[in-house]
Amino acid sequence: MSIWVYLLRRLSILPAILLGLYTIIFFLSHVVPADPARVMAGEGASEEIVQRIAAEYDLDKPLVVQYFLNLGRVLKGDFGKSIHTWRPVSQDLRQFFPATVELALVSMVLAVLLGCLLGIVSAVYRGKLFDIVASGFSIFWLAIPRFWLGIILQIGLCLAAHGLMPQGGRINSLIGFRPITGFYILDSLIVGNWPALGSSLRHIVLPAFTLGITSLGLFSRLTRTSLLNTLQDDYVRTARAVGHKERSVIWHAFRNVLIPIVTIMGMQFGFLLGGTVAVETVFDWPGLGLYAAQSALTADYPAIIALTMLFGVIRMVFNLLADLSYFVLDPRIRQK
Amino acid sequence: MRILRLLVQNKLGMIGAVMLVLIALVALLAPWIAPYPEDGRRAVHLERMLRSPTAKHWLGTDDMGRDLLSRILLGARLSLMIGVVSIGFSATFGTILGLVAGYVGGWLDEALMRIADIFMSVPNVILGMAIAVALKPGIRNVIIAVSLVFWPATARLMRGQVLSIREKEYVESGRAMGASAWRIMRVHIIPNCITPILVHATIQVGWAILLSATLSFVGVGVQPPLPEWGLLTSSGRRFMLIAWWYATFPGLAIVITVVAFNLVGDALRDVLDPRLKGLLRKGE
Repeated sequence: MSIWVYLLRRLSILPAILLGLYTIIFFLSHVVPADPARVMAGEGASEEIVQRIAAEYDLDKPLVVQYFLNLGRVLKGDFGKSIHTWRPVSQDLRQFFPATVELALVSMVLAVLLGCLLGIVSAVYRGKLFDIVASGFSIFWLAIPRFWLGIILQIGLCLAAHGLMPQGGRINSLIGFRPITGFYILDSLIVGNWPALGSSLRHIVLPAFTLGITSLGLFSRLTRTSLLNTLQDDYVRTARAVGHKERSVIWHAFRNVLIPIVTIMGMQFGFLLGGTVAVETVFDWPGLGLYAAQSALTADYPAIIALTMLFGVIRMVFNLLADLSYFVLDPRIRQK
Repeated sequence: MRILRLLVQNKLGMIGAVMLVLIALVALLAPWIAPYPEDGRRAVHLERMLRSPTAKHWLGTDDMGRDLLSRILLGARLSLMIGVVSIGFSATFGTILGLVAGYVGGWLDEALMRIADIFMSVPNVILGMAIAVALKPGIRNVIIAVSLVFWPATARLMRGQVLSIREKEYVESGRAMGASAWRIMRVHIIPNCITPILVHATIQVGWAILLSATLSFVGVGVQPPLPEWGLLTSSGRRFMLIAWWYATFPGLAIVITVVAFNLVGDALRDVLDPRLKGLLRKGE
């Protein structure tokens, strides 16, 4: 099947899945609660406020009318007003989006670099102490709650170590810095603000490491296993036999391991997004995850609908990119 | 017997099994082994608030002066119950839907798998939060939310198993002899599909505990004063500057429990994997 046909097929089901997602979230937010307006207004809200919210969000209209009115607005990118910020939800999403994407990207880069490095060393020193410790660690990486790891790192590296690392936020507020794109690392590079760059990097390290811990473990195991398999191949044996340096042999073997790693990166990116809720809450990182947590606490249904659909779109896009990477990177699949 | 022997030979699996048995015993006997069982719910002892670990309070006390060890032991009941019950529901629901989708096929299969795709298109935590908010926080609704997050994976797995078994000769001959669809499912399909479902469910219990802890940490899961581990960690976070133990030990309890489920699940998968079975038969 040609890559374009495959791409068209996958893209053609995207609208159906998004519509299904919207329907499920609409059902959860408008049908399940006995009185959505009262839930959104909060406990103890007066009758007048409940009625104002019902009018503002069309909650006093028949359900079918609400469904299509909301859908019409969502298609135009209008998710209504957030209950807890009182700003348009789309404006909130635009504001918080760059922080989460920056965190996720740095997290992925850290996870891939450290994971591959750990995997290569484990494979090269197979059976030795490093490999045994790394394998032992691999039992824990899937079991660690990210929110707990973040807190432990804060206790150890921020509080106990007398501020060795910043405890939260994106940048030291005392540094004069005006964001341009919202990606602080990029913005500080653009204007050459080195104190801002240094501060941004220091602030992102712990949350990025926390967010990427599961992916780091996965890449480490994958690299180790794939590299060990590849090092058994005939061409590797031949290379060693004709006298190539071991470092060069390992590098060439590792290049073949890159294909599954790149593919899994796409899938892991979607998985990382879910972790932003806990990590951004722990590190007070002003991104979509923290916004989602605050929206959940305040039963902010307009924001919850928008966030669910946005996270769904991002995850599906990255899953698609991961699948497409097989076509691009593996010549055997292209020939098929 | 051979499977039991293989399970016992799997060292990590045995460690996980022993850990699970101990955790289950702790959960069962918590009201009797907890040093201060009255601290499981509403109790205020201001004279001993935020005390560091001592001989009297092995893991310290919280902001209400409650013994943290007792609350963690009592929280084991809650976390295990949420994990096991929610995966029980999701595995049952997912198995039935996967069985129907795989056996009947056609438009029903397409519709069910598209619904599963929709549920799986969103990260678990986001979907879990959206469901929990709609249902209002509380133990029962956390169980429902977690079940709804995990059923699609089971349904897909079951469907895949059914598709591979449906065309086997013994199933075809059963159909040819006039056996009803229900009989074929009950006698041939379910027994041959159940093993991977059980393995998957074992590992999922650990994930369910993680998800419910995350929902409680955020504030939309189990509510105070219940001693759920995620909730304890969230409460402890507010005091981490002066009471490092408060957030540390409940999180450690989560790690130990999830590790145990992962080890047992991995061991079951290694032992019950049909490809591995084939290799072992050759060696005998």
